[in-house]
Amino acid sequence: MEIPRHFEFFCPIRIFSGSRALEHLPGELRALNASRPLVLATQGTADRGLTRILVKAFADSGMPLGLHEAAPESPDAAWTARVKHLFVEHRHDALLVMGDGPLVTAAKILNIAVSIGPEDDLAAASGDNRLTRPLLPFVVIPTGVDCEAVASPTAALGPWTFRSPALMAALVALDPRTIRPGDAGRDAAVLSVARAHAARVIAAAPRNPVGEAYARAGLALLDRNGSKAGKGERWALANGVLLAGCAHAQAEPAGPDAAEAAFTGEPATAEAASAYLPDYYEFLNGGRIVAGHDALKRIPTILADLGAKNPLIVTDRGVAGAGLVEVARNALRDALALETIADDVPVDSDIKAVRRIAELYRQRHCDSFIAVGGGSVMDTAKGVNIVVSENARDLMAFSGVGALKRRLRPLIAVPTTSGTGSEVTQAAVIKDHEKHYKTAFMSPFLLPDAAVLDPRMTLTLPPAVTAQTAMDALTHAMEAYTCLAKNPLSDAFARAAVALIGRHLLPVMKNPADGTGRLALAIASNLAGVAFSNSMVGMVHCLGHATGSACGVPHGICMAILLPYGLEYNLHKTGRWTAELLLPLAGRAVCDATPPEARAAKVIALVRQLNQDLHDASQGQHPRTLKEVVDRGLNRMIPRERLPEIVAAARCDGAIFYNPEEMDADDFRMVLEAAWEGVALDLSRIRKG
Amino acid sequence: MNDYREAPAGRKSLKRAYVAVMLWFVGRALQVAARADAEVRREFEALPEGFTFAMGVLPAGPWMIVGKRAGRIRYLGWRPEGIALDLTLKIKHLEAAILMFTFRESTAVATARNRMIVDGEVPPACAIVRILDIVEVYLLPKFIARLAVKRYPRWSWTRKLVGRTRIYLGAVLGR
Ligand SMILES: [Fe+2]
Repeated sequence: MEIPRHFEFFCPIRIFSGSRALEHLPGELRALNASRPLVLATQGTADRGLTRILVKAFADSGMPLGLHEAAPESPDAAWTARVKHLFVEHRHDALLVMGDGPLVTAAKILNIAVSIGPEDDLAAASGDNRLTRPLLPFVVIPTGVDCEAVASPTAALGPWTFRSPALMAALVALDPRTIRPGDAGRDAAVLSVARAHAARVIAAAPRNPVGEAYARAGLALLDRNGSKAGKGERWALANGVLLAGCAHAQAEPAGPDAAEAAFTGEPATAEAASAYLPDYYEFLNGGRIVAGHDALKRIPTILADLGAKNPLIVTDRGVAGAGLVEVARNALRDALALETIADDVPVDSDIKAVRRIAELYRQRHCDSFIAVGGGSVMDTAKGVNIVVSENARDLMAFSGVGALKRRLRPLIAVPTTSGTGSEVTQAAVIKDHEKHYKTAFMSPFLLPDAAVLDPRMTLTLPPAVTAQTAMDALTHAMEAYTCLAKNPLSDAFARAAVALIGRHLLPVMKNPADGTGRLALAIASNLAGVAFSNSMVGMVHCLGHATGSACGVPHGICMAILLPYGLEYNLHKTGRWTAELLLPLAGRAVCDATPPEARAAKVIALVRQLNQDLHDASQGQHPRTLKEVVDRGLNRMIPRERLPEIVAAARCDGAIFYNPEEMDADDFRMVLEAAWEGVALDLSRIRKG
Repeated sequence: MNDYREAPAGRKSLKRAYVAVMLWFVGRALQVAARADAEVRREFEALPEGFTFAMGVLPAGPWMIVGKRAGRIRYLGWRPEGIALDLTLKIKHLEAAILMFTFRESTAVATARNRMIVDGEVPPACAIVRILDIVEVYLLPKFIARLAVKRYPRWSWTRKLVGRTRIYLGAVLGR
């Protein structure tokens, strides 16, 4: 898989798709501090009983709905003014659009009108990026397949055109109950436009890997065998149109000629063979992704777009000592002086460090963060961000799921390891080393506003660390692809990540200064991070966390050793998905030469071979088995007699929830013993549920 | 112009009642299973004295509260108000609870579909999920329990029969 020199992608849409999607909306609105949504629909939508379905879905939620069921098919400025009046008069705080096409666009403008305040002039907000305040919560419930407008960052009405990423920030509820057939001719046209959009983004490859992932997921859904023309199939098509729209709105597509080629050309469509769609899934890509050989240079623009100009750099001594902060400062010298630096983040994020850095932030009147480092730096920056944004004395008041109700200060993540994917997660873990506990924070608001992937940040990673972190990313992708929460988008992200790692990891091991390869691995890590932060991970992480905490082994090493065992253990349940990973991992020639029934086993064998190759390429530093893991003094880190301790820790790890097959203490022990010795699992001993 | 109306938040009384009864029954069954089944007993023994957890539906219940008091597992009713909870399993809405309690979505699938929020420490949450799986195997006929758990366990017929009888009787009679 090729990569471009530079690309960006930004799609803040949150997707709730499938059965009972509507019922999730009250809770999601509450999490955004909204409790009085105004529903906009046309008379036709109401006549078809769709608003009634919505009202029923909100029953028992304690949230009343205001309904405006008289929106015109093509709303004009006068309508916007009238509904704005309704919105203000009845004290609403969120918009919920039921419909498609032009109504969605008009509602976006209405959202600007009600968000900028009752007196302000809409004309003043028109143009490019003139929206200075965040908009109110905005929900779209498509009533047909025509839902591309949701993804568009532009909206035009009468004399005005607005263009802003804020116009894409929406919750989209694709519910099979509300996706109805429209005019047959118009639906067919919508589908063919969406297909062409997706095909053009794919044909432009490698211009935008993230856009390509969206396009591939969308195209696969649009090309699903539509023999079942029922509710479910229309819903699947609507998913496809939405994803194609996201791809097209963000990625610069190729011209129509190239798209023709993509329709007939082999490589572009071959991968679209599988389109797994669960009955229900959620997806948030979230922050802006900026990647390229000179991506750091974009930071001033990103900050300006976020309305910030005085960032605090958060990093640790290791990163600073490796000269990476200097690299960033030099890259930005002309545009931005990075003066305030907190470089004392400890190896493990720590509550005391959070308090100290928050103090520095306030003293220096900073207005944003640039986190340069790995997981601990990201988590610490997120913790500080909660403290300063909420003006909180006690960080712990915001712990748990969904305690944050509004946006925090801008945070840009610059990862320096290609692995953890922490630049795209919605979580932070902060430890209190005095009281010996760690606290987790979970919220969409913890997702960094932007992830800047610049190969200069990883050029100096030693080979063994490159291997570990890349294997962590590979595990994120492969577990996301084979565990219980998989969905069409995370699948596309995972496949793209596997392809990049499969092609670039060994060359980078042989030539660490390979900037293109480094960039590819950084992109892969990011894609895998998006995949697993949406679809989670399973037993490999469960056992890996346990081994890490019991014996202090670096996370990536555990992942590399345990990954083949996870795929093997779940083989009877998820073999067909493992098999699908052969094409991205090894390429077309190997895939074609392997009969379909042998592909899953081939993937497992290739992952084992990859560990062997990494072992060879790192002069034996990359361990292949648990017994080979040694510390700096070459002492064995995982003595066999400590395996029971790891089993006990594994029973306390939540990743197991997402694993396809059940695991009890005996199963954990069996897998650990095999991984310790380095022998394959005896498939006949796996108890199948 | 009549282009605005308000739809008050209604109630789904029948579905609420169904989920409330199921939670009540599971709560009482937990209380009995903690004595009747060795595996459940071991899991509960590992939890600290005073440990209290709730399972229920957002935003307004119904709930089931179970706690460890003086070494014994007790069903503590359906009102979480005023009780300090160590762990809360929150089902996001009533319809999700219906999918779970009509066994159309297993706990694992509901979790994977993000229909549940686990509020509290992860290790006890893992223990509680294991316990709930065991109780489901006791309470449900095999063909339904197979949908509710990832892997149907291979128990001796005595464990199943004796345990099932004790737990059913105990849950109904409250002992
Ligand atoms: Fe990981």
